[in-house]
Amino acid sequence: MRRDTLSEVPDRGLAEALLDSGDERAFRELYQRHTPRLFQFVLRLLGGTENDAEDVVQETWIRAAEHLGRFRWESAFSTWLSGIGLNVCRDMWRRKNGRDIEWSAAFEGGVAAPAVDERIDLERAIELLPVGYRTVLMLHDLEGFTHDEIGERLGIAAGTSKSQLFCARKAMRALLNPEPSEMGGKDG
Amino acid sequence: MDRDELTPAEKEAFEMLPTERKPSRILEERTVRALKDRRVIRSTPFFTASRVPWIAAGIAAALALFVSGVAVGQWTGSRQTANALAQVYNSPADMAAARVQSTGSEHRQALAAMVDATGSAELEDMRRAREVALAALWAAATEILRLDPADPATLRILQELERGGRGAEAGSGEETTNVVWF
Repeated sequence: MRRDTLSEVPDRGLAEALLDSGDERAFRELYQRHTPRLFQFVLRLLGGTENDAEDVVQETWIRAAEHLGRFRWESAFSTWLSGIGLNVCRDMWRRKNGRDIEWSAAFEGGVAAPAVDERIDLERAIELLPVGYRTVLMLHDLEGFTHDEIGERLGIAAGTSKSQLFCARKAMRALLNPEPSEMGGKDG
Repeated sequence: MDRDELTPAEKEAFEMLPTERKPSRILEERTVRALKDRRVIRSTPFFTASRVPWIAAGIAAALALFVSGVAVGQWTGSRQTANALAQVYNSPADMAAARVQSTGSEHRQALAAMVDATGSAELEDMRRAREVALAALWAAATEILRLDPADPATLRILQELERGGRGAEAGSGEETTNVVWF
């Protein structure tokens, strides 16, 4: 596959070249096409830890390349890839915390308080949210998934996704417009 | 407005968030290497069809560079040699000394050739050649004597040549030297 024409080849063509002949240039083109978005997604999901995000991106591509033959192309390649990235993030979170993400609708743990003089923008507010809130908020408000799709991806009920989103937005607003009663001190 | 929905300002803030960010370049290489280790990606062979023209052009360029380097080196070397020779021949004394060396060598080589040809040449020709050689030796010795009138070796050579010449004249009676210098 010629390098100068690779940018015109659709994802599926590149994926087939990778599957059929292990074409390195096809992989690099796929990588360069989708990694910036994947990296930003993963970085935000992990709360801004770049080293962890790079490890997750690498593992995501390894899993994607190894299971490329199973992808049915019923959704966009980038959607499939971010789904794998989400699972890798969850695996990392599980490894680090010894348990899965808390999806309880009754989660009332509050959010990590910012430093006293810290001016919070939306990016920082998302970063400070508990991981369960952050995940649902990102998938819904940033990636545009429905609650059913989120439920399917995360293995939770659509209702759980809705309640998580409600709590996430509430916490986010509290961080952006702080009132003493809305600030907790626990990450979760 | 329902507080559960995003406000227009919040929606705008979400839309303003960056959606892409490039990781370090090393990550791509790390990932490619990991996939090669797992044999998902095959290493690209060095001699692929698309690379052959580039490789050939590279070899041609390297050869051209090498040849031009050699040519420049030779040209520079010959210039230096020419300069050195020009310096050698700059003074009349140097030129004269070099000419003596050159013609001396030729003289010796001619004598050696004559000795080699002794068996096959005509007797008369050999006699005439010997006469020329002795005359050249006598003339050379005379010139050396002009340089150094007290040079004992040259004096001895001249004495011997004169004695030999007289002997030859006495022996043959009417034999005379008839050397033509070119």
